[in-house]
Amino acid sequence: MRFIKIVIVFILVVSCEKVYVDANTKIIGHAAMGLNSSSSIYANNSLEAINLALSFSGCDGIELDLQLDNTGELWLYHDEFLSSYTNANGCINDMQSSALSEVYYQTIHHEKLVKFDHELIKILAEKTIFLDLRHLNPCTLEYIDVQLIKQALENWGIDEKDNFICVTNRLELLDELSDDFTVFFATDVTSYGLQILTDYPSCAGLVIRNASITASDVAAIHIVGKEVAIFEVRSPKGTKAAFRKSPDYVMTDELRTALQIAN
Amino acid sequence: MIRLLLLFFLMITKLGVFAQDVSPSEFYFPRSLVSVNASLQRMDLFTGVAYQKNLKKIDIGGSLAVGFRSTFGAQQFFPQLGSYMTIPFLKHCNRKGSIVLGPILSFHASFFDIGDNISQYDITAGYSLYVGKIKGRLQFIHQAGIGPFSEFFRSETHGFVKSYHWNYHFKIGLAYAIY
Repeated sequence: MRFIKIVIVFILVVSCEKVYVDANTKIIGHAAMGLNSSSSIYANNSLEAINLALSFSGCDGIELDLQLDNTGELWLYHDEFLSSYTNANGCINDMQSSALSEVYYQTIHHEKLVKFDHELIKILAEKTIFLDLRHLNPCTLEYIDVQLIKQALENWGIDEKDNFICVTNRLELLDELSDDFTVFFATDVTSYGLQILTDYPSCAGLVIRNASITASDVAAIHIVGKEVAIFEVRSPKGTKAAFRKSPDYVMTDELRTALQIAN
Repeated sequence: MIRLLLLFFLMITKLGVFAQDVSPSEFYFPRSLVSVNASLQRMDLFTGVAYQKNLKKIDIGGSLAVGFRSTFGAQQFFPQLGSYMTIPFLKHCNRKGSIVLGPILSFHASFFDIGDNISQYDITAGYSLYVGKIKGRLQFIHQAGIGPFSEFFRSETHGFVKSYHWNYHFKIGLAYAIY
């Protein structure tokens, strides 16, 4: 009985702990509604997931994964191989747009693979959109030509839109894009990220794993005038930890949890 | 999944028919159960209480729970109201104890606020089980099911938003039996 009382008091104390969420911290849905999240309802990077994520009033934006096909069009897909989640085989980089337009996710909703086009850009207009640029063909293990990626982005006028942020961990791509686009560098090591921010002054910020960065690291990045997006945020505990660091963006895999904490 | 459930219930029915020592009387089975339980679902782990009234042909019940992750982890109250109906296909007892097993149909409604007021509803079908000592006060309960799930809210930017999916329940709990 005493044990039960202690447990109840503990739960009450824990449940009263409210986290301060910096008003400047934006909540971003990772791959729209989150990766491998049971509460996401729709497949990641699907149009349905994008619409659902953006319909939440507290959601400030989403992160999407872009891959280039062999006709120069961009498609939204997170994994390396299409066979992981869709009815197709191979890699996006080796396929033509006409074939990819027939691809759908093998989920209950059978969401279609989404092409990055004018219609999608219209949907994304009002919020902050991170574009994770995939630069390696997983089937051939060859790098994608950075000029092709740049050209595809320019075709849709991403360089002229303030709400789009490109993300890469390839220095060649960072170097090529950072003068014309808003580009964040993705890294797991804060000290390396800080070095990159020094070496590439036009790099706008870092995308970094929640476990790899502290509040003082975030403060250090802010001091040099750059921004920070924290990803791999899922559990309530992890989400609170991310908010406490006061980053500019929290990229969450459990959008509802992040919105609950922030509300 | 549905085929598996059907197969499972066929097996239960057979068990009922060939059981050697089926209770001759309702005397050995509780008239009602008050339980504390935890239910794993798509959106959260719900913990709460339930009351079940055992009638002659069917058992009916109601439940009140809160999403543990949301309420205690994210400090956002996430209540869930539920009601269910179960048909006790197999009622079996011997000197060691009693077991009641049957199909269950349940309905749940959950609500939470993340800037938008979200309502979620589901109807699930599955099985219900409770076991305990013969005339024992404490019973172990277990329910599991799967079924359609819907979510509704009014968005500031997107108007009325609705989405559909599947939900699952996997519930275990401890019940106090009233005879």
